[in-house]
Amino acid sequence: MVNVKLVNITKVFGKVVAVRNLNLEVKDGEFFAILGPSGCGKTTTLRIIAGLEKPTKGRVYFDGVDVTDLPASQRDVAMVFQFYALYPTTVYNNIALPLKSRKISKKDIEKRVYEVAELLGLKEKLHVHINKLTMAEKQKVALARAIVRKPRLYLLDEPLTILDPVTKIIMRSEFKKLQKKIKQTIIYVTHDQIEAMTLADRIAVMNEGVIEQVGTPDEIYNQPNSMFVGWFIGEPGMNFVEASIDRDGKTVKIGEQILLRSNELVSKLTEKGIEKVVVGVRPEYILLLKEPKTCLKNHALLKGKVVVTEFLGTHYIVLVSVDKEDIKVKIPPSAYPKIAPYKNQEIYLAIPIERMLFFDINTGKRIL
Amino acid sequence: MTKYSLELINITKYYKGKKVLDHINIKVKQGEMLTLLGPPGSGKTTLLKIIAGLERQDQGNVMINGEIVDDEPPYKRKVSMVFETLALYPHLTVFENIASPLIAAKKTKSEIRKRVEEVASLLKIRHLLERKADKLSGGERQRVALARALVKEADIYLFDEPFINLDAKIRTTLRTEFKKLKEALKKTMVFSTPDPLEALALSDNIAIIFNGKIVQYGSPLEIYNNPLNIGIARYITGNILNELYAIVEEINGEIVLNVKGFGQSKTLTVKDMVPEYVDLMDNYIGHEIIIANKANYCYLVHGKSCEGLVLEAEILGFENHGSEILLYVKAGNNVLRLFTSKEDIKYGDIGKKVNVCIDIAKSTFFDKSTGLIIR
Repeated sequence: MVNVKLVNITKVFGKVVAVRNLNLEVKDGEFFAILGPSGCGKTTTLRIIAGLEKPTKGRVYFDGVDVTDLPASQRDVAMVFQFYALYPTTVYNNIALPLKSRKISKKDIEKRVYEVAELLGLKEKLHVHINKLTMAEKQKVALARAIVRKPRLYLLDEPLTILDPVTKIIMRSEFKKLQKKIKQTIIYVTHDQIEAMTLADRIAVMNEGVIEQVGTPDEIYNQPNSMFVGWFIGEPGMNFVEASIDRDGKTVKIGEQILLRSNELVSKLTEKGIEKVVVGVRPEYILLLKEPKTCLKNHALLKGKVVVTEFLGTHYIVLVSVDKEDIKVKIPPSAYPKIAPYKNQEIYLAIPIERMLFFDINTGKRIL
Repeated sequence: MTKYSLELINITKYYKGKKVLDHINIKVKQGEMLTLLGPPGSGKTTLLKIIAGLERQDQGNVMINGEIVDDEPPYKRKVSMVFETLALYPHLTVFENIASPLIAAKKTKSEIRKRVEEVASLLKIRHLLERKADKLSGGERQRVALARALVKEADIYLFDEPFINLDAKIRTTLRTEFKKLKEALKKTMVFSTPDPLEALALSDNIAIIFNGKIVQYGSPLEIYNNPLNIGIARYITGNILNELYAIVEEINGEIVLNVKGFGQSKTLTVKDMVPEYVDLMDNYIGHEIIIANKANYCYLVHGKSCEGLVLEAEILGFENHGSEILLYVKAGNNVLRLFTSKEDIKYGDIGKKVNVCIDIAKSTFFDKSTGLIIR
C-alpha cells in the first residue's frame, strides 16, 4: 500500500502546458479515478506518477518519500493500458514473465502464478495460448501480469475501453473485488464518467491541465465545485441560469420572476454582497407542471415556454425557456403524455430548493 | 402540385459491381427533417452525395420540388451540404468563412452582414465572428461549418454525420442547439448519423439503412416502439434491450409462453398478460419467440406485486449514472439490465440474489426464426 502525493506539479511540452500546478493526494488503499475530456492532462498526470515523465516543476511523494528523481523501474508500480501487450505464448508464461527476471525459484514462481490466476479466475486457462482467449480474458492476463509482481501501486489507463458493455460490467466488478482482496492503491484514468462514478472511492475531475474537483462520486454529481464539473458530469449536464439578488426585497429573481424569497439561502447570498449569481440544477430534479401548483413544499416555481422536445428512448428532454434562458428538464416516458408539451406551450417548472446550487458569475466556482 | 421538397425514386447505385444502394424510395416534405440512420458503410453518405449531385445513381431519379434534377450539376440544385470533415479556410475569420457562399453568390455587403449575424446568433457564435478559423475548438469549428451551410440559400440542406468527430459532451449540447435551429428555420433537411439517439432526438422521420436498403421508415416513436425486426430493435435500443426466449404453447385451451433458460418451466398466460396478443400468438403455436424488454420496463421486486414475469436473478454489476443506476443481473442464461435507485445497490451486493420483474405488457415480441415483429 502506498500514499501518493503530488505537490505543485507542472508539465510543459514545448509550448503546451499539459498539467498546471497540480496538487493531489491519493490515500492508502484507495480506488482513485482521474476523469476528464481528451487532452485534459489525465494521462500525463498518470505517467508522472509512474515515472515515465518527469515533471517540469513540482515533486512526487510515495509514503512521504520524494520519488521525483527515481526512474520508473525503481518505483515499484504496475501499469495496465487500454491496449495490452501480451507475448504469443501461454497464459502461464505471460503471467510468470515479470518474476523470471527476479531471481525467484521455479517453485515460488509457480505458486505465485497460481495464486494470481485463482484471484482473477484464470486457473483453467493457464496452459491455453493467448490467441485462444477472448478480449476480456486477455485483459485479465495483462492485469494478472501486473499483480504477480506485488507492486505497491497500480496505475490503470482506460483498461476497459475496448470491451463490450456486458464484459465491461463484469470486469468492473472484478476490479472492485480485486481491490478488496489485494488492498492496494489503484489510480485509474478514464474519460468515461460512468466508469469513474461506478468504480472509484474518489474522483479527480480534470480540465485543461487543472484539477477542478476531488470528491466522492456523489459529491461530484450532486455538489459540483464548479460549473465545468456540473456540466461535464451527467447526461445531459447541469442547467445554469443567471439570477439577480434583490437585497431590499430579500429575493432571488430570474428575470422578473421570483425564484426564492426570504429564506436562509437568500440571506446567505445577500450576506456575501453579490448582485448576480448563476443557479445550477440538474435536469432530472426538476418537475414539469401544466398548471401552477403552489402547494408543493420546498420547491421554487417558475413559468416558462416549451422550446423543443427531444425523444431519447428511455426519457424525454424538454427544453423550456425562462426569461430567455433555456432549462433542460428530463422526464420519463410515463410522465410525457400528461404534459404532452408542444412548442410555445406555457409550462411551470417546480425546482426543489435543496437541489439548487449557486455559482460565481465570473469564476464559475460554487458559492453555495 | 406536389408538397415534397425531395423525392428519391428507386435510387440504385453500384460500386465496382457491388450494389451499395438498392431501390431507395423516400419522400421528404417541405420543412421536414429526415434522418438516414445506419451503421458505417451502409450507404448514407453515397445517398447524400447523389441528392447533392456529387455522385450519379445508376438507376432511379432524384426530384427536387417536383422536378427531376438528374442531369443538373451540383451548383444548380439549390442544395447545401455539410460534410463530416470540416473544411474551413484556416486563414480567414469566422465571419469570412460563413460569408463565403454569399460572396460567391454576389450578395450586397449589407445583406451579407445581416444574414451572417442572424445565423451566428442562432448558433451562439456571434462573439467568435472576428476570430481566425484555426483558433477555434472542435465544437466551435462545427458550429461555424453549420452556419456556413445554413447561410446559403437552398431548398434542401444535407448534413453528413456532422457531429461524429466531436466529444460526447459537446455532441449532445450541439444536438439540442441543432434541434432548436431546425424548429426555428423550418427548412427541409436530410441528416445522416450512425447514432440512434441522435436520430430519435432530432428527426421528424427516420429511414434506417442497412447494407444499402431501407429496412424501416417512420417517426422516431413508431420506430422505437415497433421495430420491424429484432435486428432493428437491437440497433435502435442499444445496450438496454433485454431478450428472453419462449416457446408458444397451448395448454388446456389457453395460449401460454413457456420461457426458456431457467431450469424449471416458467409459463405466462397470454390472455392475462397481453390479451391483445391472443389471436396473434395462435399463429405461432410451437414456434420460438423473443420477448424484447427495455431496461426501463424491468424492475427490482421490493415486496410489492409484479404485473409481469418474476425471475430470480443474481447481481452481476452495475453502472452509477448519477441519479440512478443501471443494474446488470443474470437470470437463468440471460443477462438483464434495469434502472433502479442508487439506494438499492452497493458493490458488496454483487453476487446477491434478487427478484426482478419483467413488464410483459410493455414488451415487444419477435418470431425467432424470421426475426420479424409479431403484431
